[in-house]
Amino acid sequence: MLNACVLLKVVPTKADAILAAVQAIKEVRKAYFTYGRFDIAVFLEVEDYKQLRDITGRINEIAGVRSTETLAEA
Amino acid sequence: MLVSACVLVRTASGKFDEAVKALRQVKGVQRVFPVLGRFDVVADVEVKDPKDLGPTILRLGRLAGVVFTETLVEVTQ
Repeated sequence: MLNACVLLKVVPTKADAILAAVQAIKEVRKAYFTYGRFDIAVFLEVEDYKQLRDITGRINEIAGVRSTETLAEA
Repeated sequence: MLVSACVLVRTASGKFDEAVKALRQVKGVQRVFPVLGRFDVVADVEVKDPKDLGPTILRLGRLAGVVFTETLVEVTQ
C-alpha cells in the first residue's frame, strides 16, 4: 500500500460539498478542514502511483477545487 | 475533544529515515511517511485535547533531523 497526503485549496462556498465528496472516496482514510495555507488535508492509501493519479485527477475535477498539492509516499 | 493536525516536515538532507523513526515514537502521531514533493515527511497527529497540540508539535520540531515544520490544524466545529 502507498500512503499519500493531498492538500486542497477550495472555493469557500463549496467547501462542505467538496469535503463530503472527498470523504466518499473509498481510498481516503481521513480528510478534514484545516487552518493555514490549505483548506482541506486528505490522507489516503492507494495500491500504486497510477491509482494515486486517478484519484487526484478525480479530486481535481470536483467543482470548487482551486488547486491541489499531492505528497506521495517515497 | 479529538483534534487532528497535518504536519509537513522538512529534514536535514538524507535524514528522513531518522526523522520518520523519531516521529513514530511521539504520542499522538497516527500516521507518518516520507514523501516526494515540497516536503520530506508528512505526519498525521491526533490529540485528545487541543491544549496538547502545541506541545506535541513543538516536540516534533525538536526531533533528530527535523529542520522545518508547517502545521495544518484541523478546523473543529
